[in-house]
Amino acid sequence: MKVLGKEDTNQEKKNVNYLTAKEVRRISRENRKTTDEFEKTRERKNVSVDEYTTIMKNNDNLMEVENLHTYFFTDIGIVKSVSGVTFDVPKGKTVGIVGESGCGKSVTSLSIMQLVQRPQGQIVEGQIRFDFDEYIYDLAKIPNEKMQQIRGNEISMIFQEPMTSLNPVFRIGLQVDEVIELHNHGMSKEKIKNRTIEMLDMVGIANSEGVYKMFPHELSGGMRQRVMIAMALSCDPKLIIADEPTTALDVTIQAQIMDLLRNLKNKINSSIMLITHDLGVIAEMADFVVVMYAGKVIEKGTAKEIFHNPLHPYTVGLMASRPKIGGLKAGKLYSIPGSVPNPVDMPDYCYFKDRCNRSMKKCNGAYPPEIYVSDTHMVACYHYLDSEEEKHD
Amino acid sequence: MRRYVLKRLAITVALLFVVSLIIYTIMRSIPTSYVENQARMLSQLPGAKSYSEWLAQLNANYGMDKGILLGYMQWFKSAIKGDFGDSWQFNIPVIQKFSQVIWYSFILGAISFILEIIIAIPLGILAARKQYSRTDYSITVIALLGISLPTFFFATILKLIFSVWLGWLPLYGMVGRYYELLSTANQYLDIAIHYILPIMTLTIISIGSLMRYTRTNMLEVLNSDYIRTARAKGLSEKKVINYHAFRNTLIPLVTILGGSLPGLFAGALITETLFQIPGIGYTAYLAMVSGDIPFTMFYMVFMAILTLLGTLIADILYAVVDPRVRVS
Amino acid sequence: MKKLLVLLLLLTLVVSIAGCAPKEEVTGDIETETPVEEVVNNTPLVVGYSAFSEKFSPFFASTAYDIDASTLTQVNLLKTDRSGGIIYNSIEGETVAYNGVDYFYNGISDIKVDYDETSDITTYNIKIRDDVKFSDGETVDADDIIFSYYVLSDPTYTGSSTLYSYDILGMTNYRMNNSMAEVLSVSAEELAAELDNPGEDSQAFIEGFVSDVLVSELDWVKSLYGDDGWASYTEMHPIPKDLYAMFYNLDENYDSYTVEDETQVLNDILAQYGSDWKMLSVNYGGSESYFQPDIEGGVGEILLSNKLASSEGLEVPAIEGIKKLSQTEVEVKVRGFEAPAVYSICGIDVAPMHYYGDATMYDYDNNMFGFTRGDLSIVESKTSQPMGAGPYKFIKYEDKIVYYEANENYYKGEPETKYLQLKETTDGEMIAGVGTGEIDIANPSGSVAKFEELKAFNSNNETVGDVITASSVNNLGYGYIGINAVNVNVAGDISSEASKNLRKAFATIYAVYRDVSIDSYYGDAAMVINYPISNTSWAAPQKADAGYEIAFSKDVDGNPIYTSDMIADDKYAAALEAAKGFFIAAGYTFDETTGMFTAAPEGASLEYEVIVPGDGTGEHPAFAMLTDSREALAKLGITLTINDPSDTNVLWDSIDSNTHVMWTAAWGSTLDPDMYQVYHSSNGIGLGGTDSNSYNIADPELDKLIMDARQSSDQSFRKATYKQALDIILDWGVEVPNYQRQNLVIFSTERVNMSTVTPDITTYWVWMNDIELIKMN
Repeated sequence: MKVLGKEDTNQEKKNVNYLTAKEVRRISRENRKTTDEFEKTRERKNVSVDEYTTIMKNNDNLMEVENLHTYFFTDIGIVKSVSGVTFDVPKGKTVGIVGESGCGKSVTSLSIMQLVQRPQGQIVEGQIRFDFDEYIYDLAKIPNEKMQQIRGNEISMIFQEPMTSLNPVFRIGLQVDEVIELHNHGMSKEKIKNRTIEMLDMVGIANSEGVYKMFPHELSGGMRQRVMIAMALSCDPKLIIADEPTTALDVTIQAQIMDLLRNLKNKINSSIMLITHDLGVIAEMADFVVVMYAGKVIEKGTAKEIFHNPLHPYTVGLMASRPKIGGLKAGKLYSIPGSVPNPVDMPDYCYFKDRCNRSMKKCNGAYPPEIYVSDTHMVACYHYLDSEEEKHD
Repeated sequence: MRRYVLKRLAITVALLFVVSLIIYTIMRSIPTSYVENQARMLSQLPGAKSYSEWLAQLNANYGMDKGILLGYMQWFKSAIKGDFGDSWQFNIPVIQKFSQVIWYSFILGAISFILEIIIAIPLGILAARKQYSRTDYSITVIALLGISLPTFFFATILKLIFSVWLGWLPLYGMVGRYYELLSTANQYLDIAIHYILPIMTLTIISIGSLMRYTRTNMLEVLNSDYIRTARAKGLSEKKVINYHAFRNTLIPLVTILGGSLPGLFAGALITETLFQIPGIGYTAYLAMVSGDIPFTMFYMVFMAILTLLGTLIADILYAVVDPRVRVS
Repeated sequence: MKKLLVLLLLLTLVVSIAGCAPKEEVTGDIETETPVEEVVNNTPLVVGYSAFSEKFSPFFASTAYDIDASTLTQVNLLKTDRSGGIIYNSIEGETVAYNGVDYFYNGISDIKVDYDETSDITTYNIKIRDDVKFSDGETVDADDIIFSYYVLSDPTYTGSSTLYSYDILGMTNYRMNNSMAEVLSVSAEELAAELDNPGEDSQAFIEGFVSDVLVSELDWVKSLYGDDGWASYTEMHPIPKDLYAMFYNLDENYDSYTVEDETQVLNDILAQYGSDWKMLSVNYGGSESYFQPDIEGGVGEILLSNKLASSEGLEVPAIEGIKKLSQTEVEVKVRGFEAPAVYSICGIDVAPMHYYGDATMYDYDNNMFGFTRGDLSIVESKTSQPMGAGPYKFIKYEDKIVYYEANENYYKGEPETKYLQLKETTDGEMIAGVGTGEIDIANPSGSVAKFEELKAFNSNNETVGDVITASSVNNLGYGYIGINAVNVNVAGDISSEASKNLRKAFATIYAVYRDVSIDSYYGDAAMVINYPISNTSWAAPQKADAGYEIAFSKDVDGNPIYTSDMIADDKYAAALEAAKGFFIAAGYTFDETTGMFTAAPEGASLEYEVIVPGDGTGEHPAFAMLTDSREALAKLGITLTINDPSDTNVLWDSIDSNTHVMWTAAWGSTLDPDMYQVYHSSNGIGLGGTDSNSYNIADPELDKLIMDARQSSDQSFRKATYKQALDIILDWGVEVPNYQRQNLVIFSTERVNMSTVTPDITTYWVWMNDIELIKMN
């Protein structure tokens, strides 16, 4: 899909916080035009299967995200939350997505699930190829009805805020039953209930029968997150997306939940896409790591590579920001100076340039290309341009 | 739960006592009273006794010559037994007059209430779902129109269009001229036709606020996390809205609706007057304006009971709809 | 769109519920085919009426609408014609001409009025037909008449009839149940003795009277502050309590300045007076005898009731002056002769004794009249269900409609229209109601807008057309501007020439603006009148009569102010000049250079207030006139403050307390033009009479004229006398006659057979009078 809309790249950098009325009207008119187009395409009925059937580039991969662009058409301009994200999720492996708040990790996951807030948010470009065994679909083009069958069933999601993620007026049992029933037509009520209780047991809830009848407000945060996990697992999904599952919990519960996830990982054969900004969690759980910054992937590789050999200055900074107990240089905690650029007004040079302590003259040019220093290790930084050239000489 | 309800009932009774005393005092203190009006009218006839003489006689007749507290006690003693006395304005027992007129108002209020709910809530939900779209804006405009139009203006326009110009519906009144000669079924039809315009008036004026309220609450609910979870589970949009979201919107809605129970019996004074419906609104107004103390006392006490009941019901319903509030 | 859909659904729902029953033929529906043999038209006649108070009783109805509703079921002993004259021989009937057309009138009674000068007794002999029946088939006879009289005379009767106030022989005795009541009186000596040495009750009365006056005087004193006319006083004593003490203090050594609390000052003054009404009279009215009539009246009553209690008077079981002569003849004897009395004494509805009373309790010869004396509960219990010998039977009052059915036993024959309904309708919707078919006849009030509205319904855009037929009827009453002589005068003398001139100055200005104001407010619906009497009365001077003058059209020297060729603005200027003359004659100081008055004589002021109850929004026919007057007077340096309260009671309260200065109101008239109640000096406010003389006019010559006319039965003599009286009233300048409204009576031309409606409807001959003849189309 092409981007239909003007970008004010050739004009002076205006202060985006102040817009004239004419500006606002122009923006809103354009937004409406663009989003209407997208919506029309989305709302079509009877889309033929061919439109969204595709093939995987690598058959070991469960999901391949390629050049994903997800934009939000807001009143002050176009926010490019995800602009050109590419990564793979191999079957049965755990991929961790790391980055600051606002770098686009959640939006990526929502894009995969087709849950971005429409009509303002749209997937403008890119492919999300997913392997469903019998067929392979491009999730970016799939119609809504099809996606409803997939959500909760083949792909499920665990959210960040367990306290508010459960419907307060329905009992736990009902909420979990619901997802099972939805994707397993014809299953008897008895069976569904048993399965739910089984799942509740699996996530470590001791009084599963009792909890079945309880309301969400009667449970603690940790319990609720367990319930969410149970919900996510109940239909044996191929991919579980966990969007910062422990951020809202306190540390001890955090540890418990992480233990749970780890145990589960061994039992089930789903892939897990774990989004977090907690490096410790990544270290424990992830096989592969993708580092995002300001809507782009700036480095990705295996967990070992990233942790032992961080290349991008941002990644280096991230690693350095970890608090160490009893380290040699105890004292001030290192933090990367500066802040994330305004998403409406993205520059066209390396986004990290203003905060980088190793920026060069080259960085003022175009955005750095993707450089593979090994088969799995990618970095987008001019520093490594020569090394790649060297390597592939 | 039971203890809660009982405690609330006890408080209600105490409140009623205080409220009725205040009302009685106010009624006794208003400048013109029924008695004075009567005395004035009687004294203006040729050859009649003078105003002050009539006033003294009527005051004694109607028990107004006692002090406020004593007068209240007298009223209270008989009220407790269920005897609210005879209405001064209408010359029949208060309860009899009341039961004559209340059902008209109740039917008017009840049907409007139901129609209001049927129309306003789905429209409010629709507006919330399609926020900022043209549908949303047009619904909001209609809601604002409904809230802004004064009753008498709107009713008069309806009458002008449907009765004077088109001649489809009767101009006013409860029954047509042939009513007595009709069969029972046709009588119901006659009354129903006469009710169409008043109900239309009442409904259209009230849907505005309910629609806005629903829309606001629905928006809040739609933006919450558990709706996202519901979608993530793969539920169809229809199920998400009508089941998950609506169930939560119901909580504030139900409290408003439960609390509007007194409104069903309050009668719509202006509408009733404009359409000559012998309802409680107009009757109570007449009584109040001429200082008819027994009737007004009964009516006020009745309304107080309803209001307190309404609050209680709203609270109970709230607990029913929202499990978080239930007292264990 | 959804709304419309739901509405349609609701309609469908309702219709389907109703439609389940087999559709029955609606008799009377003009479009449906009825069986060929009978051409019975059962279309109900529906009349629009204002709200009823449900007192549908010939005895207790108080509002005009209740009275009408009750009258439909009753017959009245007295029959009057289109001019309000009495038909004395209505059993056979009489033919009387009206407007050149002969009309035949008949009723149920023959009445003879006979005055015997030597005994000073008027005898009313009433004979009735023997074949009049009530709607339940019982015959109307003298027992029913006697019963009705006794109900109206009962001491506990609280209805609106004032039969008992006429000096019927034995009435007072009966009501006080003491045969000495009329004979006993308190002689002047007894009164004087009591006043010198008051007994307990008298003492209490006197003290109460004194304290009431003193207390209200304090309020009066407070009201003076802010009034420039009293500035000299209020400046001298800035605090009300001190000014009050100055007026009323009796004790030289008492200094109100030392007493802080106003209530304390009041109590002190009260204590000073005690029961000394004579000193109060001096300080209040200037002479010792000022309150004498009030004190004597009150004490006299006390003495009288004491006398009665201790007298050897016997109990009185019956009224001497009301006698049954036969089953069809009754006689009433009254002391003295008053022309208007016949309307009240003979003009009663004959109510059925067996229904409103208890037949077992009726035995004329043994002084039992159908109910327990002093206990009217049987009668009151029938208040909402009237029954009588009238053209229609009352069925029920439901859904704001009064339902009637024709009375087969009506003496003039069963009414043509079987079903009658009186439907409550707001005044503003009556015309639309007739136009859309809700009602067929109505009596809306007249106004410019109403005339326009009704013309719009007719295709010929006239008042008589294919949809609505309208006729205008003079209203029984008229509007006026009043000036209170007690508060608008010079040096406290209300009858001096100076005072009259002062009032006439204002009256002249008001009068000249009447035309433009009434025309814009009422248009065709009202006309300006020039005498303080309703145009409907036979006593009203007509334009063609000799001596007819436009009110207040002469200046202080008696010369006419206006000429026939003056345009409006000229007239206003001329009136202003004339007013100037009146003010100067009243003693006002005129400054030639500024052209304005600079000082008022004693007791008068440069500022006066007029109360016009226009709901606070100027909604009153006199409002424009007063505003114009205010501007005109301002040119002379006279300030007219227009007070438009939103609550009419402000006006009534001020009249009750005699603090009103000038005001606008309207009188409702009676059939007889008798002026006693309103213009006799004894009926001024607070003087113990009717309190209806709100002008406080007190002219001995006027009083004599009023009494003379009241006691004569010669119509031409009375008319001439009343003309003189009207001229005196105008000369006093206490009343500016303003307008006479026209009321509308409208008919639906489409549904009512207009040829059956009674012709020549007047104020006294309403459309209902021949209701038994009306046919529906």
